[in-house]
Amino acid sequence: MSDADTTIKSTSVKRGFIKFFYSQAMLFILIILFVIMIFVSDNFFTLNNIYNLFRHVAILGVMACGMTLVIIGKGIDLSAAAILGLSAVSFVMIQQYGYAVSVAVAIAVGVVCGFINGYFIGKVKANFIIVTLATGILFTATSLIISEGRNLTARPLLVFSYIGSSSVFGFPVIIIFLIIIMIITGILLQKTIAGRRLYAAGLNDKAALVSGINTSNIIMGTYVLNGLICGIAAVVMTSRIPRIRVGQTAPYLFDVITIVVLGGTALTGGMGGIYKTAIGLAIFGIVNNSMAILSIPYEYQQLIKGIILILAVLYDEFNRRKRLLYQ
Amino acid sequence: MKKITNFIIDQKLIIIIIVLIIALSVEDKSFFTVKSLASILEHATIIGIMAAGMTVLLISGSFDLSVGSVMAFTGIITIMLQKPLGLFLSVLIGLIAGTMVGVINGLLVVKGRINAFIATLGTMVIFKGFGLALTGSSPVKGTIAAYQFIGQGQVFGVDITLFYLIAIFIIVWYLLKYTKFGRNDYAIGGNILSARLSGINVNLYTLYYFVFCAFTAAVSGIILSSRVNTGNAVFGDTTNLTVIAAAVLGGTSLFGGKGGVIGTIQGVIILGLIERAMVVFNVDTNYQLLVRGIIILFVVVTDAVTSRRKKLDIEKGVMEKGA
Repeated sequence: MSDADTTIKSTSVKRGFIKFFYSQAMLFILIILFVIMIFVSDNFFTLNNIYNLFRHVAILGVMACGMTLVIIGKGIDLSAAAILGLSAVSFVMIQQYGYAVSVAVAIAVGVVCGFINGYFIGKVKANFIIVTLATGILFTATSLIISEGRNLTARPLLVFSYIGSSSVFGFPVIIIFLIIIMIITGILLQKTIAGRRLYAAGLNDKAALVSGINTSNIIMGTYVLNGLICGIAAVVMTSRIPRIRVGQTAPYLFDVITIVVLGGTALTGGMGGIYKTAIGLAIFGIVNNSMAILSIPYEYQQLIKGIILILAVLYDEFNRRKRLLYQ
Repeated sequence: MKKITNFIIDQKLIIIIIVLIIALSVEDKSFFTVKSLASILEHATIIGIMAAGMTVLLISGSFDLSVGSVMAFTGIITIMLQKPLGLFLSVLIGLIAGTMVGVINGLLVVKGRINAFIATLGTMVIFKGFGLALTGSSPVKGTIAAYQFIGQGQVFGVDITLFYLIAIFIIVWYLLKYTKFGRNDYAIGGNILSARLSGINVNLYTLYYFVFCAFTAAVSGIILSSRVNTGNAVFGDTTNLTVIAAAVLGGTSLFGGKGGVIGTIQGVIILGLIERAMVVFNVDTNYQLLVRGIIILFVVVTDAVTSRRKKLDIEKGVMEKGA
């Protein structure tokens, strides 16, 4: 082998490595954060704390799966937290008819809400930001009207709190639930025709349209699925937090968007996936957990989360440019 | 027939305003007076001033969700600095602090190449957090009595704030119509690529528009904090939506390149009239929220439908000419 060949080979290995580094940057950040926290706090790396960490962000994680679908389709759903709230309120208000009925109603409410969003965005082609902001107000108002602004309490039946508080072989059910939802949406995105079409529609909707993909149906589908997942998240939420107050879900929206964007799913559409969202969720969970361990006041927590979001997006953009350089 | 329907579609805002005024006058006999009509604008001042700034930004095809936070943040800074720095300096620094958020937004979008939505969502949370941290989550009271004149003073029997609103709208109208600032705004919003190719410094001007939008939010922050003589971080949580709704209601497109302040003032008046109507007709607060949501949804859906119809009309016209 001549000298020139070795140089070419070594540079291509180097390139491959750099490309890998830039494409997995968030994974490295996750590992670095994890190691730092192990040194900062003795309480961090205990099984109990790790379970706690994921228990706290499980609802956000479920919602982030739906939001990932919507964002890959070059949209965003600002009504997700309101759908969660409305589903949860319906769930609690219907609970005297039994668990199965209330679960069905909660999910049905989510689907209907998602369908309203999807219809106006996918079919009518109205601006997704304003539509979902407006439907967010609508759903919040509806939950205020049906609950008459009261605080509601989920009945403390054992079945109701099963997902939220029990464990299987010491492993919390809520985390198993989260993993199952993630796997299903992941398979949907990567292994089904509809999933691949969604990537195409998000990347370039005109090209997708002329190659025979019914983009408006696909986009509508993402909002319906997101509504469905928000309905499921509402079931999970009521099992964990029995007291439901309208408006308490509002801060979830920012957190869910932060998780998806942290993972590296770009708002420009057509990129990202559940794997990335899982990493985003883990980073978010660690940050959340460490702020609690270090007892940072609530006001500063919001501030820090905002700064993290901005830095994550800036970093992602920087990476994208680098990746393009090495391609 | 087609002319009439086109006329109705083009002038739908004026028609809605007239219908609302008639409905209100029938229900409330004292409604149709100059004073009562002026009071609707007075109530809408804060939203109106921000809507003017938002219009400029929307025309360039960008977007700002942080206006509510900027408004609250400016109020807090101004009120908190009153004691050590005095009236004039505190207002000045408050305005500068609020406007700086616009610089940050602009730089994130222009230099960082971040989507305007995410960038301003981030600064929205960050500056709300700053406000909460500065005040310790409890409202701060103003100490200088003269400060209250800015937002509560009366001139010629009407609120002084009405004159700010009119002044800002005249300034923005002039800027958009007769200056490079305005022409570049439409050019960038219409087609960013051709704007760049024709030699417009797109980045610099986009930055200007973000700064201008934040400046109007800062002015609103001064007025609001002076009106209630309080700085509070929870002010303006949903203001961003109302402001954008007013501009979009007025015909400014969310996709850029279209719109103006004449439409925006009509949008502001409609929102003010609806607000008043819900009080007059004694609508429950929860239903008020519902109505507001429906109105915004209605606006954005009609915007989408009419713009698609116009596009179809143009395409049809081209085809007929071609044949």
